[in-house]
Amino acid sequence: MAEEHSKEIEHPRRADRVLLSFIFALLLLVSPLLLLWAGPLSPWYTPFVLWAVIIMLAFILERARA
Amino acid sequence: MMMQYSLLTLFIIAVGYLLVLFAIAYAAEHDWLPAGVVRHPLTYVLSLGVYASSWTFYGSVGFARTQGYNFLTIYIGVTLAFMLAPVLLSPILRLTREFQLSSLADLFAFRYRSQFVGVLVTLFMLAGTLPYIALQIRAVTESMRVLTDAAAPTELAFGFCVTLTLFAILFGARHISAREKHEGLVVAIAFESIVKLIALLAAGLFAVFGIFGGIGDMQRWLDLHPEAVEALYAPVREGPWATLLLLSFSAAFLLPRQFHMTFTENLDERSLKVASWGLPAFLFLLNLPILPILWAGDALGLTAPVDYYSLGIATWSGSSVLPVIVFIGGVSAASAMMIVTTLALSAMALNHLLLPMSYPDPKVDIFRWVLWGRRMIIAVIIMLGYGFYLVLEHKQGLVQLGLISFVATAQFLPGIGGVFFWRRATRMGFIAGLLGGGAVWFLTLLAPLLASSGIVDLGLDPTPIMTMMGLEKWGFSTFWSLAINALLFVVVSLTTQPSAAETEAAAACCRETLGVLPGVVVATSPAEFREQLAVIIGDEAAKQQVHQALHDLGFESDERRPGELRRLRDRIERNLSGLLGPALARIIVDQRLTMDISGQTDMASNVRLIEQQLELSNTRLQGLAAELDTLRRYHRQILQDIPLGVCSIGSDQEVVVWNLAMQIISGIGHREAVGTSLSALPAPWGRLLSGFMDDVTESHIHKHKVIIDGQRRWLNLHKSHIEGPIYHGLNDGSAGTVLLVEDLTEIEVLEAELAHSERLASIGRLAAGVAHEIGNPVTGIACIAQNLRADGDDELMSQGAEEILKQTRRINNIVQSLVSFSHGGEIEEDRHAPFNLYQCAEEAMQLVRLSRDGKQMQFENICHQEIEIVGNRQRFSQVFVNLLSNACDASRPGTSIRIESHIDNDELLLRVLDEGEGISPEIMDRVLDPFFTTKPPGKGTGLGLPLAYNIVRQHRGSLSFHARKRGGTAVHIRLAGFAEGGS
Repeated sequence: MAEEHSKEIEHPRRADRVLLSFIFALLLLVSPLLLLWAGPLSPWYTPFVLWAVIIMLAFILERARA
Repeated sequence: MMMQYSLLTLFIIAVGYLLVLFAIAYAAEHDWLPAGVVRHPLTYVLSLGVYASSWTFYGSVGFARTQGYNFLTIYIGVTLAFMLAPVLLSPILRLTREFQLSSLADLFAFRYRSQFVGVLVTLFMLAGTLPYIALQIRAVTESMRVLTDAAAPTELAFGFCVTLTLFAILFGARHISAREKHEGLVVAIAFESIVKLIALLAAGLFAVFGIFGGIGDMQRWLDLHPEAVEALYAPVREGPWATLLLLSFSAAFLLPRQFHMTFTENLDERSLKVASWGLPAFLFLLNLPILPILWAGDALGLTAPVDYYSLGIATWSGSSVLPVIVFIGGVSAASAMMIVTTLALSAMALNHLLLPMSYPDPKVDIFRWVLWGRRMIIAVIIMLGYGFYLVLEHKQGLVQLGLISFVATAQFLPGIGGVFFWRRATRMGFIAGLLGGGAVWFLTLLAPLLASSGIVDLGLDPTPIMTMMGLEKWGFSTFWSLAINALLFVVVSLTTQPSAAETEAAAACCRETLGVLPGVVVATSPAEFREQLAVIIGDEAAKQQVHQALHDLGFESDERRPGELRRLRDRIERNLSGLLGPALARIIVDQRLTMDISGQTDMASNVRLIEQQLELSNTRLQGLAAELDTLRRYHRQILQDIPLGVCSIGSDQEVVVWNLAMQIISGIGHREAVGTSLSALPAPWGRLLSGFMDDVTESHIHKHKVIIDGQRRWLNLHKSHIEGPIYHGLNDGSAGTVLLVEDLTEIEVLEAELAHSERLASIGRLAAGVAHEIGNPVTGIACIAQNLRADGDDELMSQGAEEILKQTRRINNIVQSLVSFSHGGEIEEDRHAPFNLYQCAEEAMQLVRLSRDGKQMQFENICHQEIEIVGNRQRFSQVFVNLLSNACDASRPGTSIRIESHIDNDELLLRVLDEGEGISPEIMDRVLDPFFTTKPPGKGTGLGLPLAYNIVRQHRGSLSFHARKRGGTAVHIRLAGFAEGGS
């Protein structure tokens, strides 16, 4: 059939993993934990490290799906 | 020594770069670049880098200065949005692809079934994006000012806008295209992302190694200036960190350029999955140089605006190349954003503003009209952006203008929730929410901007309220605009009723329906589709649309199946949606390709479409739905594998189910049969099955003979009405008819062979008697012949000859009886012809008399001599032979065996009576079972009575056994439909 359709749909458990990772990222970024890593003594590169961790998490999730 | 460039040089460099960009796009569109590169997920990921505009390239440095690490939120928000790609972005992608929705306005107009919604979204998007376009123009002209140390004239900005208009048209509106896919554009924008990254990394590397002397030296500078790091963290703790995250989260997929590149230009859903980490990684690399550039600029004490520190340090380097690279990077960022944004906005404005306002005459080539309309809109949008650039005050940072657009874009978040997660959301709720949120956005952000630029001063200053609430500008505006938007959206949605069309669209968006509509299309062929559509969109466009839809579905141009025509209509609507927008497409299709709702509303008619949709979306089913789908598949498999031809027909006579056995029996494939009208099936099936369907008197036909490919076949046909499903105790009426086809050909062959075997067995049993019977006349003939030879008397010779002839006739009769009885085992034609029952019984008696047991019995034929019945004489003779042989076996020598006939109204009763030992009640039920016998091994086959039973059944009669009061058995043969003197 020429009609375009994708059959690649997220498995519920994989979707759960994505949502859990998202919540983890939110916890790091918009919870009181923010005051820990954005404190006066934090090295300048801390936000980049956190960001890199989140990107790595997204990469692992995508690889696991693939 | 600082390099100086002339404005003309920079303009030529910018135009030269854009020409290179166009060459890349042209090469991609003409397959001069390898398909592996063009369609590679990385190309798609890099094209999404259009998100990084002049704001990122220049403005981030200034933003980092004023808002510290808050500048990163603009990219971390995107990271969070793309992290949710599988659960947030993929559903949008699937929906836009399935229904050919090319913009956010299309999406909302489709979901809320309203042209007004499309208009509102387009206008709001235009208003929200114009400051952003103005930002890009300003960034390019300001960068020229930094490099030339002279103010760029407005004519130069105008020249840049005109050039970009031309390139935007070249990239996205160069030729007529039915689909909003531009592979060349994707590759060009991906190339632009690489240029931006290289330029910014080059500036960053120079800042670290050229100005600081290395990473260690930069760290030492930071140690000496701890306030530089603290200035980054303090705004995070105190500023609008969370607000900016939310804004960039929504902007990641709702900004016109992001929506266009992420969904409209997507070629493969897998690329989106790669983008879930690929785009954040790209943005991460792009942001690495921002802080070194900021610190290097501070360390050098540059006088240039902070936004343009990257150009400042490049110029300071004394290199003639680095400033050009950075400048090209800036042009690249601005041009990519402007080209893609104007293309996206032009599609919206065309579908929701221009076309509804001034739909062209059908005689006009709609494709050409759309093309020129789009080109005109592109020019108007860029010129409006230029106008905005001219009137805005230039003291605002670049980021300020961008964030105004971000807050505007965030107003679509509640609506998106309604599209995918809340079916109850209504058109009125969406409009009220957007107007409410938009009003707050205008009053708190746009109006102050216009007032400060001296354009319009409404005298509204939200600052005192912000101060009172302790919120800064972005937090205040975002919170209140979204809160009022969401509140109005929910409250108005709950207090208004969605229309039927909205409910249908909501179900399609939430994946809670399969989108199978009731009714049949009034037009009965693709040719009629073309005629109908031509009335509105013109001949050529109608022809192209129908052809495209047929091609998409893999249908032939002579397709006539009602279900397939309904799918064709659906596909045409979707394709037209890509060209004209969903609202207009629906109006056109509803007007010209009308549906007859009463034509086909039963379950069976929709079963095939529902099944097709379920097959495509089965992996989306979860929980109970998945279990039910498994059960459905199991039942369907049973239906498929059942060794009986099953054919289900809808109320419109369309074949719905055509199982495997049916395919084998008929030789007609599933694809060929399903969806076809029953009467249109190839001969002889169409006529046979539709004739049977139309015959209201017969639910079953037994042993119907048909000739298929020159071969005789025997079929049993059964039909049954299918009751519609019952909901809440109510039946929704007819759901069609099911036909069962049983191929009896093999059984018929076997029966014929068995009958032949039984006849041969009978002959075997009669063999001794036959030999004796033939032996007697032969002996007589021999004696007569000897006498004739000895005497030579004429009179004796004459008598002898007469006697020989008599004996010869006697032998001949016996031989003929045997030959007739043991006729070959092939399947016979049903030689039904009238025959005399008395003679048939008499012949059978003669045959049985030949046997040893038969000789000792007294046979009486007291049938009516004039009775004739219609049937197969030979086979009926076998019935008598079998019954009489059994009677002989069960009777004592010398007893009587009788055949009687009785006529009762229209029924003929034949009785075969013996005085034997009878049939015991224990075995009465089994005597008709094949191979059941009470005789010793080798004496009986167990097939005599079953065969007699089958033959009687074939003559529409019944056969039963009864015990006689004075001993013996009475076998009753009842033949229905008999009239005296005939049958």
